[in-house]
Amino acid sequence: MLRIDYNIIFTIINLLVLYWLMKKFLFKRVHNILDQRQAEIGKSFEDAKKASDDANALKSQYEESMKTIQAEHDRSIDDAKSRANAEYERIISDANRRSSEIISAAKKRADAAAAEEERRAEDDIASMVKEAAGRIAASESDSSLYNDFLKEVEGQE
Amino acid sequence: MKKMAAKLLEELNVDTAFTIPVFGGIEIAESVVITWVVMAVMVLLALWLTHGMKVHNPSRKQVAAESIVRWLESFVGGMLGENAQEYVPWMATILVFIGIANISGVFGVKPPTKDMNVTIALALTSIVLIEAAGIRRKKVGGWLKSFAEPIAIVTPINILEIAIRPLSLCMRLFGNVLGAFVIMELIKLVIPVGVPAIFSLYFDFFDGLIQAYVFVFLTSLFVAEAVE
Repeated sequence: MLRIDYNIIFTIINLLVLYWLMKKFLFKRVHNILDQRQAEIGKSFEDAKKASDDANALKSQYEESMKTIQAEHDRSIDDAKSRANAEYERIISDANRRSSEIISAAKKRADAAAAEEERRAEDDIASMVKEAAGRIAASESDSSLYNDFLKEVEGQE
Repeated sequence: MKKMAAKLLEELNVDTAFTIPVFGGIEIAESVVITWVVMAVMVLLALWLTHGMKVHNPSRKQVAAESIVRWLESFVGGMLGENAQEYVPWMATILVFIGIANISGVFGVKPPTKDMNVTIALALTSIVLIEAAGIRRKKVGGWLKSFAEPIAIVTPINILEIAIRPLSLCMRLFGNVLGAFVIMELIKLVIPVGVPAIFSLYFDFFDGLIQAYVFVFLTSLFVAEAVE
């Protein structure tokens, strides 16, 4: 009933052959596929990560340039403002200067004109006095002289 | 009754399937031939399952192949532990082989594991695997030292275990399958119709698969211990 002989060796050989065949045809084949799939999944994950990294880099670049543009914008506004202020100050002071010049020139002219008028009036009065004196000297009466003088003055006004 | 006994004895015998006429005749046992059949079934099944596998859009067949391999690897890998993952294909192969061999009685052949030659061969490969795994992991010095662990006084027992472990593995499998086979043959002799089918569920399928599991579980446990 019990039989123990060299069939042990045959069975061991059988087992080793079976192991080799199963490894070759089952485990290796399935693992090839599983590994390939795993590699593909890993690759697509990597690609997705790369894409998102790129997008983030672009975004930060964009934000950076926006910041630069904003700064540039602020700076030019300030620049323009300060330049406009300077121009304004210049124009105002220029105008002030010019107007004071004009005023002083007008004053001078008015003074000159007033002096001229005064001088002429003096001349007129002097010549009238001179004439009146001449007439007085020439006329016979003081009263007629006086009347003549008054007529003369009325006629002038 | 005598006829029954004779028939039973005949069923229990390990017959010689054929003799190779060299070196005075090499007698190939029946169990070896049935092992070939089991091997052929396993290899053809593997070839069929893994035929035309694709990375994308796997067929149902391929999904089945993948889940079988994954299940086997996680099942056996869990028992072996993370240090002994390289032995997973071997243990998985042994598990499937013993499983199919044990339930082959259902198909009307004598299970190969009923022959002590087969269980001895299985036990020998197991003990070689256990000790080889230990030597590979700990080198010869560490492996020799591991006999004196946890304390020096257990060294003789640890050395005895080299013989005891394969003996118990071999005898447990042989005894269970032989016992189940004897009971099934008795039932078949007494009531040939209907009843054997019910008992076969337990003795062939349940016990057969449990014994395959126990064999692989114990071997894996010893390997895991050896590579610790």
